[in-house]
Amino acid sequence: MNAVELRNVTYRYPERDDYALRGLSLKVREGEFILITGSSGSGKSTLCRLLNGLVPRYYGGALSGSVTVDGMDASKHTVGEMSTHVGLVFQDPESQIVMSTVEDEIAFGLENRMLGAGEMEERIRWVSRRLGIAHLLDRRTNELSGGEKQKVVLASTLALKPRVLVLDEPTSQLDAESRMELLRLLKSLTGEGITVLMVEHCLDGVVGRADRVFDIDSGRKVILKVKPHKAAKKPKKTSGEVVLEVRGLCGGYGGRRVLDGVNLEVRAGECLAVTGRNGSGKTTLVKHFNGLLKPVAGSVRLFGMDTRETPTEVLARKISYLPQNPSDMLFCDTVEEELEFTLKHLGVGGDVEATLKKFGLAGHRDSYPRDLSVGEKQRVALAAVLVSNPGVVVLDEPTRGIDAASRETLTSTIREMAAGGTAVVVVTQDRRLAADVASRELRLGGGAVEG
Amino acid sequence: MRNPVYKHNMNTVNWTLWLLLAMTYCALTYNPLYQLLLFAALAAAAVSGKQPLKTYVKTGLLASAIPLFVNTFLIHMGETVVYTIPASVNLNGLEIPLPIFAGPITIESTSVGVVMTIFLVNMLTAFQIFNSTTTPDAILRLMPSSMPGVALITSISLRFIPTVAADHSSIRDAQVSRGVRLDSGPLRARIRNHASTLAPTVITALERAFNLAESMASRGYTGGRTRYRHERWGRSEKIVSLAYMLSLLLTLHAKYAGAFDYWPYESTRLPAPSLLALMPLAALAIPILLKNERR
Repeated sequence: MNAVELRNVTYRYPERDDYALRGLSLKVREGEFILITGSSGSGKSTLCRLLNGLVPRYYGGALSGSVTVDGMDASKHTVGEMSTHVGLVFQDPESQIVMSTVEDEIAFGLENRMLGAGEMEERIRWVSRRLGIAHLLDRRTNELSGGEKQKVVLASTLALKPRVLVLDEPTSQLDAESRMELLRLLKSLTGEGITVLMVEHCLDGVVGRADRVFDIDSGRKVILKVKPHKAAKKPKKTSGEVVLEVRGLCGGYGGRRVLDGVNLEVRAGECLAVTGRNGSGKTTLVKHFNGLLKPVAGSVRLFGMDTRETPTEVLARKISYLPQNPSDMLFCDTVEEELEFTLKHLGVGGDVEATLKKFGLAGHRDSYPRDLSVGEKQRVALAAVLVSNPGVVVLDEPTRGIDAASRETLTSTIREMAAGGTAVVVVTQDRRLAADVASRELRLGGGAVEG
Repeated sequence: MRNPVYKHNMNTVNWTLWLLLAMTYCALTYNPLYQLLLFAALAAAAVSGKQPLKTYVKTGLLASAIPLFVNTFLIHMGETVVYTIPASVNLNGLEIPLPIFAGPITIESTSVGVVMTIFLVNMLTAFQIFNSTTTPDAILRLMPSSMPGVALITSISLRFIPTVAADHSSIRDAQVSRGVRLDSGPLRARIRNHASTLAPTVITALERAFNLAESMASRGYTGGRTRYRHERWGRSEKIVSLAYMLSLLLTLHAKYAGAFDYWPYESTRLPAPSLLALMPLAALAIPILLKNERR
């Protein structure tokens, strides 16, 4: 029996002229592990929401074709009814957590299912053991790391024992080790008869786990054959001038010390990858580069300026920072205005037209940035920080949630910038990106440089 | 700082009564002996629940640095003078006036500072013990079961506040990194610049709210629910509640009977301990008897 069957599904969001999905057909057998890929804006998240009825019930719009999940016609059942068969885990765990402790969060769905306390306790014990989070049950949800939150969100869905588990980019906030752990877990669930559909951009580690890859762009199943990654030729180490100098840096947030004596030099024209597990202090380190955080001890000098004494808005003329979440930056009415906004506030000149073209955004110049897909938003944010041609560029997890094409653009942009004499610092969990662009790697562990 | 929920064999109603008693007792007396004994009772409750007492005390001491300083150096009431700060000091021929500091440092004023220190340590310790053994969800579950939606909405709102604050902080960082001046420049420009942080914060909060609604619906939330946690409300819980309520009444009675009367500015000599004032402290130590076996 097919666990999931889509027949000629076409869907259009309300007030949109273009189709989110067009003539999509897909059959998934019970216990299969399917990876769904596709370019940004190709409708992967829409497909996920279609499977439990959120689309079109919550969004409206026009749907044609049929969606059957675990024998249930999604158009004839409420989201609540579908939830007994389909578990849906979204990308951002922060936006899914309802309760203040882990145990209560896992119990949330079970309480909705009107289960008795005994059965709830049994399921909570089972799922927490299964996901290795039994030690977290008493923790407050707002104090968990991104990876821990992701596991809790998954646990609260798995506790409902769905027959079909749908995950929309569940590994985007996980480090490489946690990602592999999750993939192993998902594979083992299929052994218990659970069907897994996972939307993911990155194919690393999927071979041998996913049974099939479904490419939503072509609407076809593709043979799961991931070419072994050939790292591009490493950029040469540069002997350019030192533009960023970090000496004995100790620092952190709100009295909590995260960094412990970091030393580092970054030269013009080089690309440094800052790597390490979740919580190792990578973002904390780079936030010291542009003065968002001030050192508790030690010093950071950018082009000779002491970041402790120089305001961030002044340092910003020399260093650009792309945050983890591109939406943090975007608020103007159009893409073009986002770029102009940066130039206006920095008080510098820049070629808006050329930057838009370079990032493939010329066609989106009048679009509202927050309406764009994740990959497109990432490109707008990148264009908005690079339009001023800074001497140092810091990119914090720039490949999170972007598709292969956007990733290619990003890789070549980083290489071009470094070749042009810009110092690039990339914070990343993405081993492939680090291998492709970095001339040097700085691995952090427990707030100090490893190795 | 990691702040787990400590398991403790006392229900939320009784923890709430315990907190009320501790706060009331603490607020009604300036007698350092009673304040110290109150601290002993709180410390015992914290230690029996394996809570980090040292951290709690540290927080209290940090908070009390200002009242201790103000009372010692800026309040010049009292008769037992230890030292008199002159009206000015001469540093290498330069006469530096000390307009606020000038005057006597007295035992009485310093005593008030010390009592206020213990007072703040007690208040914060009581709050932290309570905060570590209960959660907003547990408190909201005390609402009648006829209004489950209200409790859930309140719980979500409470959880949302730190999330939105964290979002705003990230957005602020992102905009400052683009050269936006939020803390300098003309006032009008600063207000205008703040729009670049407020607009995305509001939009992000709305997006989060929508995502949360989707997530809740995806986990079958339709309104009707059972409850995972049923707090014990047996005979022993009722007895403990009664003990707390009686102790609360006793504390108020002790106040009006004058058992707590002591004002350090008037005298540094403590009155003889009153049994009436000591009795409520015993109730505050009840958590020791009910240590962490089950929640």
